[in-house]
Amino acid sequence: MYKELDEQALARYCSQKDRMAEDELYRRYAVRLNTLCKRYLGDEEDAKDLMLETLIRALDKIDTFKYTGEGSLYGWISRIAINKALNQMRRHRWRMIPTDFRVQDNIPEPTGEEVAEIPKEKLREWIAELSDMRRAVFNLYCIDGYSHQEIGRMLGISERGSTSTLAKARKELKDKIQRYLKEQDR
Amino acid sequence: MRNWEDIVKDKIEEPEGALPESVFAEFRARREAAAAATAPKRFPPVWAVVPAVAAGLAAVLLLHKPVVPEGNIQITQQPTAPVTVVTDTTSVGESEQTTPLTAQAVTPKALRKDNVKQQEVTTVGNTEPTEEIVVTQSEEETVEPEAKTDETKDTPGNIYSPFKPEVAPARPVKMKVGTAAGMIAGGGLLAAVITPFLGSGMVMDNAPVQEIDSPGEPGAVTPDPMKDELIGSPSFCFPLRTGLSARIPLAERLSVTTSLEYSLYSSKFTYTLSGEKTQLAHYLGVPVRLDWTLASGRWLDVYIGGGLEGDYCLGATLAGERTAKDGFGLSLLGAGGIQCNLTKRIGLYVEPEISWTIPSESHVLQTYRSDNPLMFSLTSGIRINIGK
Repeated sequence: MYKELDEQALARYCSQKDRMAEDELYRRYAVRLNTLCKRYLGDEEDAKDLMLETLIRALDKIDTFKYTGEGSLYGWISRIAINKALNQMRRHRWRMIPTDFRVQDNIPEPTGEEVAEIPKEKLREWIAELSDMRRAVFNLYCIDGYSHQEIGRMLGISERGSTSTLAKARKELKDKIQRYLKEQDR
Repeated sequence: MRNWEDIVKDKIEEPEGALPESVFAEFRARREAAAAATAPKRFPPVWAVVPAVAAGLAAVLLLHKPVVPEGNIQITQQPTAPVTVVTDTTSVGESEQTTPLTAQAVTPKALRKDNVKQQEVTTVGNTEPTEEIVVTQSEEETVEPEAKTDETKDTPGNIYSPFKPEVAPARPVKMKVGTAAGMIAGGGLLAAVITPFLGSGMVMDNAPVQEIDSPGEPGAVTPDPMKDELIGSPSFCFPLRTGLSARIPLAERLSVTTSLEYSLYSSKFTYTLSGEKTQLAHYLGVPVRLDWTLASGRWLDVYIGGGLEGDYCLGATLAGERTAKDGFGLSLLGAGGIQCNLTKRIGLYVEPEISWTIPSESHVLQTYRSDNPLMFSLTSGIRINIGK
């Protein structure tokens, strides 16, 4: 029965503290959320903790959720996860300060076909290796579709700062992609 | 043709494999724990009323005190004819039948009038604070309240009462100082304590050998023993600097730092007659720097930077008397610093700084800075991180 529930009904049942509905919420979103958390934190254990925290928080605040269409429940939960991930980044870690100060980018852009050949595990690994700030900006802008203005507000940096951080993150990723492709050619 | 970033997005957004069952079990356990933490009380709220009422009654019984202190009740003889005798069986007058005791409340006006008019009888239990309770025994002694009224001044707004007004004991003002405010105060205190400590004992005798006429007007003059003239070399204390700073981030590591810095330059001059005199010059400076963060953590930031500082001399004194002061000055500076973040927004900073004061005609005072245009200083203070 619960598997067939739409998002609105599922949220309603969850707000009534229906255990079965809460389990269904976990089954639907846990894996996606875990992937998202891993993208932001880069660490498997931290990601799992964050995913669970996010789900518990979402269930706690499910009364405040407003259904706006298909996908809005996951959108709402993922925003909780992103906010929590950014808070965790600020709280726990020293920001790794990268040593490449130049933004100037003369690394050739990889083609879509070249990137398609790269296993997703490799791409995830490279993103996890980015500094906290670069990883956050890259995820927020390229994957989750936030604007530089929003990113600036979320991370406490200027809009230009966000643009420049993204440029550095892209450069670092491109560098890794090109090196990988060269190694594959040999 | 799709952009490489879109392909990266599609690839890394793909959900990974299913999570182990243990994670689901952990989810359930955490959910139960969270639910237990917010579970409503099992007993109905009405049961909470019973102990509350009982506690309230107990408090009333234990803490209730009569408003009128016993010491202020005066016993006077009751005039026999005009006074109505109160036959209150519970009152204190019951025991003496020949000289019955009555309780009366006497208003301030009545106290100043004749005894006959003041015989409005009330019960003993009337404890209105503006009324006096008088238990009379004989007519002769009724002068006592009148004598008392004479002591009170007839001024508007003054309520006459034979009772001494109950003055509530002065309660100490309790001030709740929030954590942030405490930290700011602590930080300021720390900065204030550290700065003089760093500056003390660093008196430098590095003034030019030539003798000068006055601290503000250098010039070679032979000292006249009959005049109070400057002799010897002045000694300069290491400048004390403290400030309130703000940092505005521009990029991940780049930020603009500006502050309002107070500097104190102390110099000592020796005169032929009056002996040693201390010159104190107070400056207010506004440095604007571009800082590069080398390392940043939750508690600590390490950075270097460079920029310009404009300063203005607020005033100068020599042995407590005002003297001529410097005009506007400009200097180039480079600094490294460590900032300890007390909260997300507020931090304490310590900055070793090297600065070069641009020579200017408006500098008339002889200070450590005029003697060492390229100087090293240590600044500490409180910083507000804007938009961190």
